[in-house]
Amino acid sequence: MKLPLRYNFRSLLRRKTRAAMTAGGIGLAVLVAVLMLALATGLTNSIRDTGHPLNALVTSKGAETIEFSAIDPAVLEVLRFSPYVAAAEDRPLASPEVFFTTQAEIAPGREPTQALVRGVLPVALGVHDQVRLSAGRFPDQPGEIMVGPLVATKLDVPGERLAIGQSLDLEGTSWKIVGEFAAPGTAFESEIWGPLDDLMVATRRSELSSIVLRATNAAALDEMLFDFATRTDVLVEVRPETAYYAAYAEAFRPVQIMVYVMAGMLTLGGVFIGMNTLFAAVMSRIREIGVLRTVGYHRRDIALSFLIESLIPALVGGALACVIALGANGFALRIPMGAFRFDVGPQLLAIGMGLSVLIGILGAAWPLWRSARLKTVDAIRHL
Amino acid sequence: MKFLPFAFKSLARNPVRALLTLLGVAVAIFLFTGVVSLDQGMQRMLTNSSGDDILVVFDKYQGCPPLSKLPISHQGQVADLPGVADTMATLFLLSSCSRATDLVAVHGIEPGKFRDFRKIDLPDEQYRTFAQERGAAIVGEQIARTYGWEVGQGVTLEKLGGVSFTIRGIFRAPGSSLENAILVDLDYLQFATQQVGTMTLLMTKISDQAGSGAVAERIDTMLASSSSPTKTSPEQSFIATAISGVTGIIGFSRWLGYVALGIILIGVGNSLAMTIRDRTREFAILKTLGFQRGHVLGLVITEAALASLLGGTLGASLAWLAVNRSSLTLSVEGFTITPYVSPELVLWAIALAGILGTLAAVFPAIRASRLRIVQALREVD
Repeated sequence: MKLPLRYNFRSLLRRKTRAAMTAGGIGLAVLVAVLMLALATGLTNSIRDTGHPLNALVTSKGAETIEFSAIDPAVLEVLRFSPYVAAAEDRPLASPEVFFTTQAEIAPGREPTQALVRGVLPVALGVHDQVRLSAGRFPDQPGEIMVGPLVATKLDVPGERLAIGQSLDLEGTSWKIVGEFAAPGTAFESEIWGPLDDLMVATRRSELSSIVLRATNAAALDEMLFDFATRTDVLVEVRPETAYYAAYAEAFRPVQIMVYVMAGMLTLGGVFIGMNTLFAAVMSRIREIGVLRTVGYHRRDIALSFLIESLIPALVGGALACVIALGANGFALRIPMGAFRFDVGPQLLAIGMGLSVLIGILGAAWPLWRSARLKTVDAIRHL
Repeated sequence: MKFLPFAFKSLARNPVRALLTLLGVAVAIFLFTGVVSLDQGMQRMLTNSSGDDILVVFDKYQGCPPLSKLPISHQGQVADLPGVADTMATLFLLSSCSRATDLVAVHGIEPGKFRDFRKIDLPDEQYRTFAQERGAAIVGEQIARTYGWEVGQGVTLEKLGGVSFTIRGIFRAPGSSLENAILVDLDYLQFATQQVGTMTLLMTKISDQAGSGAVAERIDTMLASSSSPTKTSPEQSFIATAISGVTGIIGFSRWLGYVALGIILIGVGNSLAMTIRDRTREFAILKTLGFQRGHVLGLVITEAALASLLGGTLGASLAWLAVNRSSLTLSVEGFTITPYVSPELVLWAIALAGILGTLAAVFPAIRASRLRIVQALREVD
């Protein structure tokens, strides 16, 4: 025989402040845990998802990251006509790029801020097809640039500062913003893109940082990787673009572990708060438990009822936390390699609610165990 | 204070509740201390990695320090300027610019001058061996610990173009970014990395600290039309700019620390409210015996403060142990931040726990002190 749900609600409402504080405490713990997990996943996902599964990334031999790579532009002419490279409108999808970090001068008198710049040709849009022009046009004239949506966060300026028509000082010259692009969930979003040749001149550079090649299909990518790695006419490092960015994301593993530990501790804190409350509820109702037993309710039913009573505030708190966390969705934060957005998706909300349930159950475990050991006779006699 | 033994006994009467409250506070204070340690490590690194009288001359447009390249000829020009006492060229070799956690940093330095610019803890004899032997290195204690290096060991860094060296000493430089660096001779590093004639930055000691702004301007003006224009700034602000990329994360985690404190407030407040509910009659009896309102107030608050202080002590001590013993570091642009829990922070965190616990107690305590004796005695829960 089950105890009616109304019984739990009424018990909780008898102690309104207590129930509210329990829900609030658990909610706060869940909120922070969810935000921390959003940070950790957003951080690694934005880096990991930057690579395209059909792209090969060519850098100079021994270069671990593109910043340290320098390739002779002549290499491009050799590689772009490889049979494994896909083509669009009869032009091979091979994108020569320079990538560097620089100091952007935003306003006179203000300390310059670090900016990430990529020099590209229009073919870059064919290779990185996560990147879409969202306003304006592609910067194909000298002195023009386009900006990703997170550049403002990276440069720590208001969005209007980087609107189309504004200009930005990089490497001692002024660049006009002619376009905006979007590349959801990738590291490109915090980059500034400009014409390859122009940026190479501005940085007094004669070498490329990388060449990104789109393979015709997955098998062709493998063939291409093997071919380039074994050729003798060009000495380059070649790897799947996904592998490059996965290795990059891997460097954040310790941060991620730290976040998991902290989220775990917050959950534990929530458990303590919930357990404290339920203990009080059980202890103050020992006689009630005795009466319920005498009336014929089974231990199991009573335990279930208390479990529900523990779950209600946990779930209410968790749901509130999820609603607030949703408000943080899209909030951008600066990190060394750019900026990234908090991505509070359905998955994280599910985790948040899962944590609430966990807190509700764990918080109930010990009090329930104690109450189940009570003898009916003792319980009724309890004062 | 005279309530102390009584408060202890009251806590012990409901050990489960006291324990849960205490553990809740401990967890929150642990988190708070851990999060603040990151901030503190950053401040400590900024102070300990820089000298007040040192200017850093650096590639004007470079966003990533290890990629800055200045011609070594700048050194002679800068050294001749009035107001400049001494200069030391430094070449950085880093595994990565922006990666946060697995940085390996090699600094090529001028051994004859280095000790005038930087304080490190190393026996003179070891330093002399290092300065005289080609291909020798001294390494920071932290990186030595991370990779298990010992004095006398030969190391080749495959990922850094196969640079190799023999470790001649392991030095300490508490809190400084150098603890995570490998120091080798500048000439040797230039040669090994085929960068003869270049440096990453020029450290410049000025003769009069007051004139630092003027000297910096003089250097930049002189080199403005050279092939590599420079930007000269005091060392501390140079590092602060370089690590500005992580300030977002550090700011966010600081905010988390505050929320952890909010959790304490709610947890302790809730637990106390429950205690008072359960002990309504007890308080009524105390009042009947002649206890004043202030006494009851004091009793409840002492109890809360006690539980919070104990929890805070537990949490802060655990954080102190965990953070200072772990080798977790955060590296940005070649500078390494080591989270650090100072003794002051431990005391601070404990005090904060006590203050917040007391604060949380005020409202329930006032309610308890306002009890009407007759009503309270009559109440049956």
